[in-house]
Amino acid sequence: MIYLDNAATSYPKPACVLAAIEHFARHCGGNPGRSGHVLSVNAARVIFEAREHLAELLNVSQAERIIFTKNATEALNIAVLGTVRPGDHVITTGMEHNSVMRPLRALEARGEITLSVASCGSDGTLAPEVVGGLVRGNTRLIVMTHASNVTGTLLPIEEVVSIARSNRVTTLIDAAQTVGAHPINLRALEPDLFVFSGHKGLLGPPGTGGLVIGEGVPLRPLMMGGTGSDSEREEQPDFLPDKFESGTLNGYGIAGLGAGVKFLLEKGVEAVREQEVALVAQLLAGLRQVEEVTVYGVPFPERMVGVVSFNVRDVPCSEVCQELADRFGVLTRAGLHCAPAAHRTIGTFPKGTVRVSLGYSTTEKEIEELVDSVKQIVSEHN
Amino acid sequence: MCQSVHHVMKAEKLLKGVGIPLKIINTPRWISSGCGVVIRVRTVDAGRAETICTDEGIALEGVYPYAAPGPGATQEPHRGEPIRDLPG
Repeated sequence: MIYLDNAATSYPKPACVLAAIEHFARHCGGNPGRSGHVLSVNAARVIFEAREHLAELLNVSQAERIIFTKNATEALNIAVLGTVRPGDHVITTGMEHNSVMRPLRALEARGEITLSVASCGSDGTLAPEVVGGLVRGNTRLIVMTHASNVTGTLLPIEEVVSIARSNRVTTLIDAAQTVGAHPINLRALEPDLFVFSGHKGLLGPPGTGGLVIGEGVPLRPLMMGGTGSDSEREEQPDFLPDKFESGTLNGYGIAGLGAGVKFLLEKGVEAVREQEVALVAQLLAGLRQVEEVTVYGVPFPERMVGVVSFNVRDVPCSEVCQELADRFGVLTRAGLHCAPAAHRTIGTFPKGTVRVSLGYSTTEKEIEELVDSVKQIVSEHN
Repeated sequence: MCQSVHHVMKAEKLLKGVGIPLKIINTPRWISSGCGVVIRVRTVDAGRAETICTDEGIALEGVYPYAAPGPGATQEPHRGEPIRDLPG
């Protein structure tokens, strides 16, 4: 079996991640911060260490500004709904996932915000000045992905953050596809809000993700409740991370996530990135040899993450994906990838694409086998 | 006593790192009725522990003596005088 659906969730998780989850279950099973007994304190230590590892990986000066959520979608909802106010204008891009588009479209439909969608090229690229041209007096927020989950195209977040800053507009970066696979330095980038997935490039288990809140950035919590702190008061604490972490945390998941991040710190994200760029180059070259195959996005591996979308002539993407899985054991994903906006941009709506997404453990041989499998499918459909 | 459990854990790591003996305990009821945890250190280490924590940006809510009120005292939280103001 060859797993090439890492943009949905990474597989396999490193052994240390599985071991950390088991260790948490056996030795740290308490509720962190709720009590002074050994299982609660051990749990709190594991959560603390996971936050510290993430702060090191992303270069965040205060680890408490990292909030754990159940996934990137929840973090994006907190960031969007906790920032905008009635009458605000919001800008996003034509390459976004529905985790961004749906909350924004819902606010727009309720008449609470007006929304502008910055046009992207049919290769998924974004010219930063397009975003700059959309800024109005009442623009509160710019939300954009770091890399498309459909084409893998990297978007110019540095330039857009800079444009937003000069216009005093809040920035929200959706880095679900880049964290762990592409070096990130938040002390240099300084976005106001930054969202990551815990179970993709960071190699943690599903049910993990998070939000990094810039220093002094005002944000309202979406959920309120018990935090184990300040229990005399019936009002939500105003300090981090407690303000945004009501209710019992996903201790098992965060233990695994912490181990995944530690694994990456030891391996080096730069090394993961280097390997991925080489494999994307191999994949693009392989697919482009086949005349019947259309590959979407930019043709430059260094301007992408390890996500590649393609179609085989007029063969439905679902059929190609199913054949890859059933006959060749190559696991990919077909369809719209929860990103209809991105598919409209690249001209594949509503038919969708076959998406191949690489991971830290993908090998040259696996890419070779995928390309050979696609060639065989093509020859049989001729 | 720290603002959040994250800061309790950070303080624990720092203080253990410099060899200050400590224990994480339930927040004593006479200090706060909050359900969290605090770090207990020896009185002799309290000043040094406080300086280390403050220098590292830990949000300290206070440093208090570990001394339960006597029988018949009010059940309301009363933190007592901060330990740094105690003689000696």
